[in-house]
Amino acid sequence: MGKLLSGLFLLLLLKGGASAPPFSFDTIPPAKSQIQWAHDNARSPHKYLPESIGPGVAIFDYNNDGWMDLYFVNSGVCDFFTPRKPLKNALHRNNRDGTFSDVTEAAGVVGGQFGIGVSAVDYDADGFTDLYVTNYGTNTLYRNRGDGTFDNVTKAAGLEAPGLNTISVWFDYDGDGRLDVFVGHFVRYSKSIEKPCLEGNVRHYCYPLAYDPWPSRLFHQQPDGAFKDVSGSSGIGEHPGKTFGAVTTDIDGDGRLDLFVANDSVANFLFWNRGGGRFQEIGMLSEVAYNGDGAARSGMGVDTADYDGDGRLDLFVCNFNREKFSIYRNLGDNLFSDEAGRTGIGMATHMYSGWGVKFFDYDHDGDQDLILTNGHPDDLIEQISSTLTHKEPLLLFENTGKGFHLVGVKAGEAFARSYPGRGLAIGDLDNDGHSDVVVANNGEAPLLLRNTGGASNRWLGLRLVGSTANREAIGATLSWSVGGIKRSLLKTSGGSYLSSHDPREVLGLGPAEKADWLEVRWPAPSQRIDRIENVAANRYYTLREGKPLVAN
Amino acid sequence: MLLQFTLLMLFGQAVAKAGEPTQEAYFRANQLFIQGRLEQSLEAANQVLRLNSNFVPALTLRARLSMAFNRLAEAGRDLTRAVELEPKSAYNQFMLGFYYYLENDFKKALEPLNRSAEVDEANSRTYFYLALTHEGLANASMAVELYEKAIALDREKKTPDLDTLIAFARLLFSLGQYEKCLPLVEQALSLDSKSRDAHYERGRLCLQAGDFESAIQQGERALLLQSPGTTDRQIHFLLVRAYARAGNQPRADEHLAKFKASAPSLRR
Repeated sequence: MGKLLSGLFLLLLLKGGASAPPFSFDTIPPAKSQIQWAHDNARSPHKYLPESIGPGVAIFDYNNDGWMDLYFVNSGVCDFFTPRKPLKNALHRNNRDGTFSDVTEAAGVVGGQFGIGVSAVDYDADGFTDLYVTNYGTNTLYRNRGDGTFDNVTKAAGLEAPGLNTISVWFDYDGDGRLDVFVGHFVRYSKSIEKPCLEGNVRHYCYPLAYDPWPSRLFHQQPDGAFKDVSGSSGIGEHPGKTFGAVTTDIDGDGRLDLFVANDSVANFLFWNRGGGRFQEIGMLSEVAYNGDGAARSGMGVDTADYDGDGRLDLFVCNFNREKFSIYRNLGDNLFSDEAGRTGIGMATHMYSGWGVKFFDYDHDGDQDLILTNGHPDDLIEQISSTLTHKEPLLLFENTGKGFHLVGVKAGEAFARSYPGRGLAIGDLDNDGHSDVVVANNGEAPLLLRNTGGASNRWLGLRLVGSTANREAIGATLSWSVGGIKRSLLKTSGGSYLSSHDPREVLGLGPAEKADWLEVRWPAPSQRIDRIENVAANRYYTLREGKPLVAN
Repeated sequence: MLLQFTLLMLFGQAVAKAGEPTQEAYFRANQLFIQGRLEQSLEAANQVLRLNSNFVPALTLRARLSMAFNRLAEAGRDLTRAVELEPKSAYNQFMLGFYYYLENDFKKALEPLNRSAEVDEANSRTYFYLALTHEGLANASMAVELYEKAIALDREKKTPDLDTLIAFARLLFSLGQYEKCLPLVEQALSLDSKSRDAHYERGRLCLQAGDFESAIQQGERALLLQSPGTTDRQIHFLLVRAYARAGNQPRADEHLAKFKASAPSLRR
């Protein structure tokens, strides 16, 4: 009884910390960040479909100085668009004082095609983080040379993947220690097959139903660093979809990474990794393909986390307004139940069209909270509806243990405003242990939010570096215990929308001054378990596979 | 289904107040409407309005006909005019609110529906559409209150309404309040044991509760019934899951094939 009471007391303490002020997300204006770049969505009266899709953003450390830099994706030349002046993607170096410097040209990562999304990953395990930009056109793989510059190695790598590409997700699906990549593809599209979708005589962006689905691709990294298209042999290419979002997960806890894929206007896919390089699509069997009435929704951004602490990874999908977003609780046996109603997510998202999404512990109370960017894709929606708006609010939810509570404007004035939100990335831009937020807006400047944190809760930051396992440790399972309460998370890849997060994991410890223990199960081919006792709070660490934990 | 039901429900509420030729012409138009001769009724309504463009019953009749022909913009014009001419008419306000609801213009629907409810506090149908409208605006607690009011009014009049019960049950289901759905669905089934919608909702509740055999029974029963509401596709989807979880994969596969063969009903 005493043990039970002390456990309850600790839980109360942890939850108590969650509501303890002060904390807020403060907007960092361009004048302060010195980021003058803005997205150009190429908006035209023709309403070409790709105009409404992008962009993504990456938070990553391109120069290994321990500070997170930013990469923004822009539109560019394509069959329907020739910019009046050249557009560029933008790499902003973190100056460690709250400002950023534009180093795009010097780094050689201008882009130039019609950019959509980006992923940042050290695909060749040379210790420097590379960039893979998805485009309407052919994609671009920028290899980081380690001297502040990048080489375009797309063709040699075999990763051009022409089409209307959206998200890219890096993971080692076959456990050979090298990162492979899933490249999400939206509908079959080119200017020549653009459909006129009219309201009266005015063109609006078409719903994706107007276009045919198209398969996404999976590329396997060969020992020489080139990639082989294994879409056919893996089973991924057998399923034409309209993919916007995808995230790695492990629904059955077998250590093999599965892939959850959100499609717009057709069924979502859950690619269950069966080993041997094969995936089985079990979206329908798992009940994550459709809504409860068997209707496909407009899946956009996705994420995965164990939101209810039962040890199983759950799934989240952003959908279109009036569809309600989905929060699929993992029931075990590869079966899910949409808990949007019971958790409060359903009604809270009923009016919005969601894109970027991330489970993260913004207040370090130990559970997985949630942030969402929204925005109706049709910039003319207010001409035909008094109920819907083009710009929509950013939503922050606190995990209450029973559901999700909308924090609202208490989280900062940014949450009282509306945006044409798309990409969203989470990361610690000032290394204070509090996860900040970057939102990539369609046709506007990005939004930077600094998490001021609260004084009450503590944290522990962790950078994992694989050696036998893939260097990014994608697929590693982190477990930790605070006051006898065990928590765990999967180091995922992909997720959100077209974007890439800070690779470091920040674990909330509540008011505790240390984690009792921390354990990392490295993914195949390693499968090694490293365990560290008594890890002091409020600092970042690096854990290299099989080595001691090092405080940064 | 709701549109047809409402049009029938509201038929005959209009009262003619005009000169004899106008009244006669309106009576003819209305008779044609009752007989389901909609094209002729529309022609007759147009004739009435040529005689008197401000004759409100003809404006609302023509609006109903326009709705039936899916010409919502024209219906909206006539109803707006009707409300301008007779703003204190609960019926006119209701129809305008109903029109906005059909247009998914929920914010605009609220004002006329509220005005209608102020004038005629006893019309459960108004509260029903107010509930649907608040549901469309994600005001769940308000929607629940209004559904409850509509059901209470129907109970007072001893005229329980299947649509209201089912719609309320569906909202509660979407909120995860399954235990509160059950009495509503049971009441719907006692009102009409041949309601496809009610059997389908009962089946969904059984599936949710893990009673797969009952879910199968309800789903199979629903498939045999007719309704413009619940589609075959929805029922096949229910049965795929119910049979699969009951361990009858061959039957699940049969319904899966039918589910995949049926047209998706994506609402955007």
